Amino acid sequence: MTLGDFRSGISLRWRLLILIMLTSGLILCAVIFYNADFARQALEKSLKERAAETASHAAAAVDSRIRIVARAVEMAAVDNSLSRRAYLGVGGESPNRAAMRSLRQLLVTNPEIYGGTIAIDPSVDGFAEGFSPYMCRTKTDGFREENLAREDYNYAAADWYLVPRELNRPLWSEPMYDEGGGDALMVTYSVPFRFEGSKRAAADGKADGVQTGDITLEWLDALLLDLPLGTNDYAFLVSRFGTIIAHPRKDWVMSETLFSLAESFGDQKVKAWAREVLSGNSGMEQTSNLFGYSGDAWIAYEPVPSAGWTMVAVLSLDEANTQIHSLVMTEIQIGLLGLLVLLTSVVLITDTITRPLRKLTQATKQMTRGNLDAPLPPHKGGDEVADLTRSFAAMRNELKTYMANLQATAISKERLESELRIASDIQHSFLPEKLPNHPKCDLAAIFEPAREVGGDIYDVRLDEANERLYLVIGDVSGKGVPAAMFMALTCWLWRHFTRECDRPEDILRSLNKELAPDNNSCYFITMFCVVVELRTGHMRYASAGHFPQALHCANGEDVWLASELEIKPCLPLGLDGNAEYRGRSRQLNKSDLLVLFTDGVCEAENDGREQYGEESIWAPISEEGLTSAQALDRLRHSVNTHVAGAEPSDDLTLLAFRYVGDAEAVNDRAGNIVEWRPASTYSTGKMLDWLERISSGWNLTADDSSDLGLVLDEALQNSIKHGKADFARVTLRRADGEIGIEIIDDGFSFNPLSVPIPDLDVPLEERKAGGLGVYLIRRLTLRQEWKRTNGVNVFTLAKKLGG
Amino acid sequence: MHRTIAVIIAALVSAALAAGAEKVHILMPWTPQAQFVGYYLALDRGEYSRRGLDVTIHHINPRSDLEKTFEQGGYEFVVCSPDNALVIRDGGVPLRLILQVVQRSNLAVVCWKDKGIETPADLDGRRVSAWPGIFRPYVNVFYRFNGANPIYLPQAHSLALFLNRSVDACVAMVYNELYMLYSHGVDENEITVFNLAEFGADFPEDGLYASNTFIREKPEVCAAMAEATKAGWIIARDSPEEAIDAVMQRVKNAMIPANRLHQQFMLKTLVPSIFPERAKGGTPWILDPGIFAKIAYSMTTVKQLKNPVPSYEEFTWETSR
Repeated sequence: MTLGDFRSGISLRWRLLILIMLTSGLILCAVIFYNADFARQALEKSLKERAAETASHAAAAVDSRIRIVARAVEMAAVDNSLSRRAYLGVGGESPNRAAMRSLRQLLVTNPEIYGGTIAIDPSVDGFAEGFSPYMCRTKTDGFREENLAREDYNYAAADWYLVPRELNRPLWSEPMYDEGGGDALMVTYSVPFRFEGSKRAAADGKADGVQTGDITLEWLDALLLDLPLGTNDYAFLVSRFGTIIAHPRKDWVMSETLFSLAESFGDQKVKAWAREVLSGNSGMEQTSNLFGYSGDAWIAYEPVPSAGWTMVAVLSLDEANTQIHSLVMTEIQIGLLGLLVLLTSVVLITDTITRPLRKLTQATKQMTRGNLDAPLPPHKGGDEVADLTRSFAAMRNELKTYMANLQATAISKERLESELRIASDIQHSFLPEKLPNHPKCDLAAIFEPAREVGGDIYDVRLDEANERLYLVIGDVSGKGVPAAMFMALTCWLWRHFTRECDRPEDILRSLNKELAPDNNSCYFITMFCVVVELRTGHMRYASAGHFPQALHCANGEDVWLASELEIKPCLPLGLDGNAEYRGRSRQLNKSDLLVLFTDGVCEAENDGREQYGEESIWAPISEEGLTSAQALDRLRHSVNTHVAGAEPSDDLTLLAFRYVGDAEAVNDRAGNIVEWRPASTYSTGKMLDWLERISSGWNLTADDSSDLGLVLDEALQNSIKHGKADFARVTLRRADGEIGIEIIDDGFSFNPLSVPIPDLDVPLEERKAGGLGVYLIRRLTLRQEWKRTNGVNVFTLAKKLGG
Repeated sequence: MHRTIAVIIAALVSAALAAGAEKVHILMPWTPQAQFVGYYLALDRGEYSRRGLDVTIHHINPRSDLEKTFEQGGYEFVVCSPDNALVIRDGGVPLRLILQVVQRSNLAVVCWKDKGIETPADLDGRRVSAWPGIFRPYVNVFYRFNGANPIYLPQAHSLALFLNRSVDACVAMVYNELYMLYSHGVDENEITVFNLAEFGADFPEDGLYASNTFIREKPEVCAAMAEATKAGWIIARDSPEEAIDAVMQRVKNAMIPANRLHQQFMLKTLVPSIFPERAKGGTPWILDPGIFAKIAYSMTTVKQLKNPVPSYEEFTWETSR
C-alpha cells in the first residue's frame, strides 16, 4: 500500500487522527528520551561525586580514628623506654603489675583501643623467660589480663612482634584473629621501643621491646553502616595487601583478598584494578557485576594513609536507573493522559467538521438517485464547511432549474420528433411500397434518409397495359420536413403526370409548370426521369438539373446518361415555370443495367472529407450476372466502406433497373436493321454503304437501290433535323416484290404525312420551305403509314421492286 | 544421595561402636585446612570407627609450638613432618612413624625477582626469612646444596617481612604461603619460586606418629589407625569436593578465615605428593631408608638435637617400612 493508497483509502477523520497522534507521539517520545538522557547524565554525575565523597569521607573517618590510636601507642612506647627498672621490679611493684598499670592507663584514656601489650625481647637482660603482659577489654566494660609469654603463645614469633621489630619501625599489622590473646578480630599497631641506654639494642640495632595497641574491627562495620549510602550501595575496606577488612559480606572479612575474589569470580580485569586500588592513590571507575553484585556501579577508592588501607565505595547505578525508570514511567503516564485528551479533542473537532460533510455526502447520494429535494445540513457560520454547503445548495438550485428546463426541452423535442416521425411516415408512404413486378424488368431500390425525413425522391410506376415503365429519382433542395413535404407534393404530381405524358421531358415540363408558380420558399428539385418500353427495350430519359446517371451495358460499355455531352444542362424543377427540358432515347439490350442515384452516393464523404466520386460507381456494379438488388447491395457496401462509419451528410437513394426483355424478338426481324444511336451520328454516306450491302445481298436493281436511298435519307433527315430524335432505327423487310420499310425514332411526335403536298408549279424560290422530301417519299413508295406509339414515331413505307 | 546415606550409616555405626571403641586423640600441627583432610574423611566416613577407633582430632594453636603442645600430653597420635618428629623424640617422647603420608616436598623458597635473583646461589649473603623451627633443616639443606649462605631472619606466620621487602626471600608452602602471596596481589612475574623438590631438598612432610610406648601397648590400634588413615586419604583423592566440604565445615566451626578456592588448590597440590608417580620415586605410606638418611643429615645442620639421630628401625614401625 502506497502513501497515496493510504490517503485515499482512509477517511479524513482517521487521517487527521492518525497524523496528529503520530506527530504528538513522536514529540512525546523525543521529550521523554531527552529528559531521561538528561536525568541520567545528571544522576550519574551526582552519583560519581557522591561516590568520591563517600570514599573520601569514610577514609578520613577511619584514618582519624586509627591515627589517634597510633599516637597513643607511640606515646606509651615512649613511656616504656623509660620504664625498664619498673619492669625489672625495682620499684617494689611486680614487673607484671607495673606493665598492667601502664596498659590500663592506655585503655582508660583511649576508648578506641581494645587491648595492648608491652612485649620485651627475651634477649634483653632479665627477661630471658619472656615478658608480654596483655590487657584487653571485656564485654562487660571491664579489663582482662593475659600473659602472652607462655608455652602455647610464642609472642616472639608473632607477626605483631616480629615484623615491626625486624623492620624497626611502627607498623599496623594485617588484620588477624588473635587466638589466645585478644580473641577478637583486630588489627594491631606495634611500636618498637628501646630502653634508655640499652647496650643490647645499640649492639644489634634491634628494639628491646614492642608496645602494641589493638583495635577491633567491629567499629568499622558501624562506621561503614553510618555512611550516607543508598540501598544498593556499599563500602568496604581493604588492607595494604588487599585483604578484606570490612565488608557487608561478613564471610569475606579476613578470608578473601581483592585478588582471591577476582580469582573466585574469574574476573581478570579486577586484578589489574585491585593493584591500582592498592597503589595508595585515590581514583574512580565504572564497573558492572563487581564480585557478584549485580548491576552497574561507580567505584571510588581512597587511601587511609596512616594504615596503608584503602576505602572503597561502590555506588550502584541501579538506583539511578530506577529513578530514571520511574521518571520515564511518570512522563509516559502523563504523556498518555495528554494524548488521550488530545485524542478526544481531535475526535470532537473532526466530528464537527466531518458531520456536515457526511450529511452532505448523504444528501449528494440522494440527489444522484434523483431526489433533488433531499435536505442539506444547516450551514451556519462562516467556515469552509458552511461555505461548501452554501455553494452546494446554490449548485442544487441551479441543477433544479436546469432539470426543469431540460424537461421542458425534452417535451418539446419529443413533440418535434413525433412530428418528424409523422412526416417520415408520410414521406415513406409516397415512396413505392413495393416495386412493380414484370418479367422484363428486374428492379431494386435503397432509400436511406440522413435524418428522420429525407429530401430525396424516387418512384417507379408500371403501365401494365402498354408495358411501359416509369422511373424517377430526384433530390429536393434542403432537408427535413419542408423538403419532405415538397418532395411529397412532387411525388404525387409525378405519378399524376406519368398518366398523362409518354415522354420524360414532357413529364418534367408539366411538373415544373405546376411546382414553379407557388413556390415562394424557392424550393427546387433536381430530377432524372426515365421511360422504358419494356416490349421493345426502347428507353427515353430526361434530366432536370440532375447529374448524369449510370448505364452499364451488357457488352461492358459504361455510359453516363444525360451528361453534358448528351444534353444541355436543364434547370431543376420549381425555379422557372417556362424552363425547357430535353429528352434522349436509347435502345436497351438484354441485361443492360441502369443505376439511378442521388448525390448521397457520389458525395459520400469519409472522415478525411474525401468524396466517393462518380467513377467509383462502376466497379461494384460491373460484375456479370448480378441482379439489381445485388448490384445495389455491392454499391452500398462500397460506399459504406469508403465512409468507414462517418456520419452520413446526405440522404442516400439508389434505384436500379436491369432490362431482362427479349431482345431477340427485335433482332429476329432485323437481319437488315440499322440503328443510329445517337441519331446525330447519322450520315447519308453511312446509310448508303449499309444499303448497298443489303442491295447486293438481295440482288436489287440500281434503280430500286437508289430509290430506297432517297426515301430513307429524306425520312431520317426529317426525324433527326426536325424531330430532334436521338435515336433512329431503320428496318427493311423484303416480301412479294416489295420491300417493307420501318423507321422508328424518338423525336417529337410528328406525322410527315400531314405535310401538304408542295405545289410543284410554283417556282422554287417562291415555294414554302419543306414538304418536298415528303412528296418525294410519297412518289417513290407504294404505301405510307405513320403512328405514334410508346413515345416513338413509327413510319412505315412499302416500295415496289422493279417499278 | 547414596553418599549422604552412607555417611549417615557410617555415623550411626561409629556411634554404635563408640561405646566399646578405643578412645584416641590425634594432634594436627596447624589449624584446620585441606592438609589434614585424609584424617577428617577417615573420621567422617567411619573408617576409624569401623576399625574400633573412637578418634578425636585436635589442632594446635598457631601461636604455640607443636612440640610443646604434644609434650603436654593427652594425644596418642600426632601428625608432623620427620624433622618435627625427630625434635619431639629428642625431647623425650619416643615417637615412631606409623604412616608416611606426604612423600614429597611442597616447600619453596620465594624471591623478589627485581632483587636480581635468578638461581638459589644468588641468595648468598642476602637477608632471607625462614621459620625458626619447622622445616628449618630442609631449608638449610636447600641453601647449602645450592651454594648459598644467607642471613636468616625469623619468619613469622604471615609474610609481612617479605611483603614489606624487608627480606629478599622467604620460605613458603606452595599450597599456603605462595598462594597467599598471589592472593595479596603479587604477580607471578614479580617473584622467582625455587621448589625445594627440584633443588636437591625433596624431603617428606606430614606423617602419622605415635609413641613407642603406645605402639607396644596397642599395636592393633596403631595398625588400624594406619589402615583407616590410608582409606581416608584415598577417599580425599577420589572425592575432592566431599573432601573440601569436610574441610570448610571444620574451618567454619573454628572461625578461621579461609576460602574454598584456596583449600581446593591445597588439596590439588597435596594429592600428587601423597600418591607420587612411580617414576618420580617414593612409595606411598612408607619412609624410604635412603630418604631417612638424608633427613638425618639435614638434622645435623640445625644442631637442635641433644641426642644422636635414631636408627631407621627405631624411627619407623612395621606399617611405615
